Amino acid sequence: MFPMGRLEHPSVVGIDIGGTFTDFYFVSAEGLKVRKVLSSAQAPSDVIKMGVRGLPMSSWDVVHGSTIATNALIESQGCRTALVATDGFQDLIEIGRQDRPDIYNPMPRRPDVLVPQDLRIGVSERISADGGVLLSLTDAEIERVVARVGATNAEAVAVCFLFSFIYPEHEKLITDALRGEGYFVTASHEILPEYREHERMTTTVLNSYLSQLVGESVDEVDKASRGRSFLVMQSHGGVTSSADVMQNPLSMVMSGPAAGVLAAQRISGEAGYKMMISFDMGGTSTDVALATTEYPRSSEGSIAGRSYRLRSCDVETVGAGGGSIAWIDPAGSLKVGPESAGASPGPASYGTGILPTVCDANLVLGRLHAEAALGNGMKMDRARAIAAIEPLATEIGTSVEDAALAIADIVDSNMARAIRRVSLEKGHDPAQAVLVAYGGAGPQHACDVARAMDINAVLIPPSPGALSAQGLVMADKTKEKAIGCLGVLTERASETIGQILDGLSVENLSDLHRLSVRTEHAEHKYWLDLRYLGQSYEISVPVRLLDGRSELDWERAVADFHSLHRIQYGFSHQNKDIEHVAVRALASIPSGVILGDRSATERDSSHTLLEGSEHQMWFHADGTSDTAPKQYSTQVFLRDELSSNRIDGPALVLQHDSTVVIPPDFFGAADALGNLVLQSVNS
Amino acid sequence: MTGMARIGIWNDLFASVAEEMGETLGRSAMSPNIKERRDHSCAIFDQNGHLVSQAAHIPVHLGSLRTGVRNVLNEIELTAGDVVVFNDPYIGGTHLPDVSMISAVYSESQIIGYVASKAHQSDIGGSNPSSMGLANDISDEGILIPPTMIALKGAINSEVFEPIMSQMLNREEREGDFQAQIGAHRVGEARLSALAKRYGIDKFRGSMDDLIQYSDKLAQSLISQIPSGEYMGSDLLDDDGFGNTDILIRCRVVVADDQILFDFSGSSDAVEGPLNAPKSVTESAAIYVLKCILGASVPMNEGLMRRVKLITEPGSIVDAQSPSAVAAANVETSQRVVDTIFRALAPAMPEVIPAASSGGMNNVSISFERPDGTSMSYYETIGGGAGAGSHYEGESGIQTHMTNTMNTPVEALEMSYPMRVRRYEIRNDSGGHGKNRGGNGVTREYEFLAPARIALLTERRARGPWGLNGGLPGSPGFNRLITSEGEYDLAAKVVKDVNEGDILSITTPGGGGWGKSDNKDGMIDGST
Repeated sequence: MFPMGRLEHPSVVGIDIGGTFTDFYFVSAEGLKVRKVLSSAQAPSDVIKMGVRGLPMSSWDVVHGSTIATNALIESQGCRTALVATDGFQDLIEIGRQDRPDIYNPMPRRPDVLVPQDLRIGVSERISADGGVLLSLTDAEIERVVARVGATNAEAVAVCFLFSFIYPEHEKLITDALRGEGYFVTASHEILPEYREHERMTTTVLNSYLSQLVGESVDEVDKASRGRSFLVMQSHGGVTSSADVMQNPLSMVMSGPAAGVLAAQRISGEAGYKMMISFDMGGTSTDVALATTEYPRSSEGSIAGRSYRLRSCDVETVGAGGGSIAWIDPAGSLKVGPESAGASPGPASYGTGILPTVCDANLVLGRLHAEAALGNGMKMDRARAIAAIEPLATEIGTSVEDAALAIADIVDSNMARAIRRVSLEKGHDPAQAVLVAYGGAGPQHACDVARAMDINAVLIPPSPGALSAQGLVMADKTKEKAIGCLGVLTERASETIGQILDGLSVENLSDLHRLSVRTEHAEHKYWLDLRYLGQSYEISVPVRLLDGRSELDWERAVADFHSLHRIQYGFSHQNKDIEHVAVRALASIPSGVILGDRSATERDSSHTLLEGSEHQMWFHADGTSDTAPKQYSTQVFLRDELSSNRIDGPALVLQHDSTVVIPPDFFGAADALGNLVLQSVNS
Repeated sequence: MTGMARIGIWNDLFASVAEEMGETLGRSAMSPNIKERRDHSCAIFDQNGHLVSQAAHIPVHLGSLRTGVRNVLNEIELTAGDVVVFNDPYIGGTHLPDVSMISAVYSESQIIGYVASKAHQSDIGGSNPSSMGLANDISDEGILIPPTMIALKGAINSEVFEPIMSQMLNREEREGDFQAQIGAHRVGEARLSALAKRYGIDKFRGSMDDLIQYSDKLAQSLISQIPSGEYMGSDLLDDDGFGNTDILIRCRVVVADDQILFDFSGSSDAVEGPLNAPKSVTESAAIYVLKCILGASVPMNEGLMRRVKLITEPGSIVDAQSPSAVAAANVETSQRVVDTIFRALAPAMPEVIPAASSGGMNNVSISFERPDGTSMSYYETIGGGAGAGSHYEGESGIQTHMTNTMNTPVEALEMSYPMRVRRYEIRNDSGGHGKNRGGNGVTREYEFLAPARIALLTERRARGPWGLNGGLPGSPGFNRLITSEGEYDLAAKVVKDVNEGDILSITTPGGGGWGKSDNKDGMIDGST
């Protein structure tokens, strides 16, 4: 299975900084190694140094991902950003698309405006829809704007003019002048040369807003890790240089989920599955994505209610996880979340909190092991978990175990709903997919969620608690360029489009060169954003150039568009004109990192796991409906010592970074790649 | 029954089916109205025609399918694969472009429930391209479809489908949208019968009952937290476009323990212009208010509705009878019904209820004649200021209450139509002053690059949205036309021909303020 020469394998470490833990995933000729270190907002350098201690870092490549940009958006912690926009349109940053996020809130709230009115600067200039100059940008006006920006004490600037995606000259003039003054400037025609001014403006502003934080943080990790090379993960699943990310900090915003989904897709693909649903259940939230052989990419994303347009991993997020708090509403219905116990006080069983969480329910049901959950020598306290759940049980008039089971059922139902959104509602049958479960809590809930969705197979990767870090080392180096390009798609246009795509490829290659990688094995991918004339939404259609020529394979692009349109929207217009809106080119260099096998895996272990002891678990008696909980005496296995022999549920599998629950109606075995593959007995 | 504790699972299951129907419809429909503005909703009913779950993307559809389903099922029996279509506003429709469909769900040869949908079709015949003009009779607003079988036993019934399609301006698009709607029904039927098969028909039916029961119980408990009493509110619509001004809406809200009554007796009679609200539109507005004050977590179903009683006088502005024109009730009258109820309840729930918001949708329709004689029309709505609340200032330039549709990007508009947007900015200082200020309206200015005909349906031009608890009203909106000969004020509702080079300027109202302003500044500003 792993014929690649072990000695040639590069030494790569993935460093994934999350809110609670920083995960390190090492892969080299010697094998694999996973390390988890508690994150620290105060001393991030120390955390990195501790993670890479004892390694000759000068021969290691470092790939980095982090939630820093995401958190900055959630907490509105970015820098003071000025907006320079066509006069009369600078308030668009506040007006947005004029819709509100929560329809039934009588006092609608939007996220805080990132650029208050005194930081919005209108510029006397105007371009028309066909790219003509209606109002010239004068030198005097440039001077005035630069002075105004100076007076605002802005730390970064965003420049967005109407129709700059057709005629960027005005934006360039202002941008050059401001960069000349030493400002970090994002120009809308550089980051998103596409129509729709509000989306372009927001994306431009967010990029400048994140510039300082991301710049400082990436630099710090680079310096502390002292690797041979340093690359950073982007939202769309490819890695690039830190210099690039410092120019485009927004591109890092989804780096964690993007890496996790990438690893899940590669691992399940290697195991022979053609469609997978990733199920990443953490402490406060859960991410779900569906992928076939193509990586799931979306051209837009949203964090904390702030939408942007940037190629990102397409995930659905649910505001519930292992730390979510259970409560009962006035009509007696059990609810889970959206409040979470977080890291502090944490679940009741961790010793400080008193409110019942999903994690406490799992402990009561024997789906977590008191000795094995915290990883730092601490034990979970089952008596505290019972005490926390008891009031709920009393209120709904059941046993503690039944109340705990109800908590698990409700959270599983929330998860199933998210899976329906990424599968059925987009025209995919989840029964054809494998569920790849990871995150601390994913492997405890995976089988129950799978059953609810008629999914027959569940795959638990070797390191479910550090899958994002693993995805980092697997990621390809990529460069992607897009430009707005509006016109009717005709055979005559195919040469022009081909030349544009070729030009973008050349730029991509030279950018890859700057990452000092060999580019002779670069793979190129092209897309056209197409729509029927008169429509206002586009589909990114993968296209190719005719062999050996800079000419678009026009016929195939047209046929593929019709068929993709039919799949996504249920109909196609064979005789209608097709319009191209943007062209995209991507160049990638495969990481060369192979999937590991278990034999060479080594883990840092700070405590010893229990083995073979009698253990009690509770499940629904018939597995499928809300019958009373039934107690089972089960075996406890250690993940590191699993063989390929079949394990029948009910069983519990302990590992350092997670705990796997196998219900009575599932069985499983480790495969050759070290994955634990679970299957429904009803399949 | 296993108790209410796990009812959330069934709520997820039924809501997912309604949601998937909506997604299917949105994905396969052809017109931007359904695809992008999501002007549609889908719902699930039990075997008795009681609403179980609804996915409403815009509030104006809330609950309205329920009345339609009740009225239609009284007349028509559905066998498997049949779909009945209707848009009659007087039996549970809204306005004519909103086309409703109903079909039965069978399992083991018995009816286990129904699915229903409603979608805003971009044209529905009639004299006006966007069906949003100033008509004074329903027959000028488009075709009226009584409940009719559009599909029989799984196949399109061409005897009904053809005559409807033959009256549509854009037949290809309409056929696509009607078929998308039927397609959504097929998905809903299949998912519900799969659920019945998986859990058994008894459990399936029992869970529908439980979910209704649950909503009822939750609504009861939340309503009982509102101080009991009788509350009065009234508000005025500016005019109907035919010279009738200051159209009164009154509402007496009676909160008695766990019931809530909305009595609109004493509201103005129906008017000539298209502001007359079918009762189902009035009901949607009332339910919207209820969802706002009870919290959105109460599942929208029959149980919630059992706690609500609505009294209207047939033939009044809030209970239109044939042949009153109704096209603008959805967009304007519904907003004023919301204002009226909120105003009544404000003393009972001062923490929850905000001052009045911009109070209309600022509808702008523009049509151009092409050189070949065909016409091209454009329609949009413009947000204004939100009313301030006890804890918040109002948001600026935002859609409020009964609508949540997005604006059209300036770049998209200028690439498609012979016009140019000159500015689109916040109208500073238009929100009402107070302890918390109302949100500001906006100004949106269009320059015409070719002769055009404009139709405006706007409100809150005569008086600004009211403040609360001593907060001052927001500034009223105004409409202006700037031509080579000068600058004119335009009426709130008007149809007018304009020339190349003319500029239309729409300035939307600010929201009302909340609480007495304790700084001197506010007093001075407020008095201007």
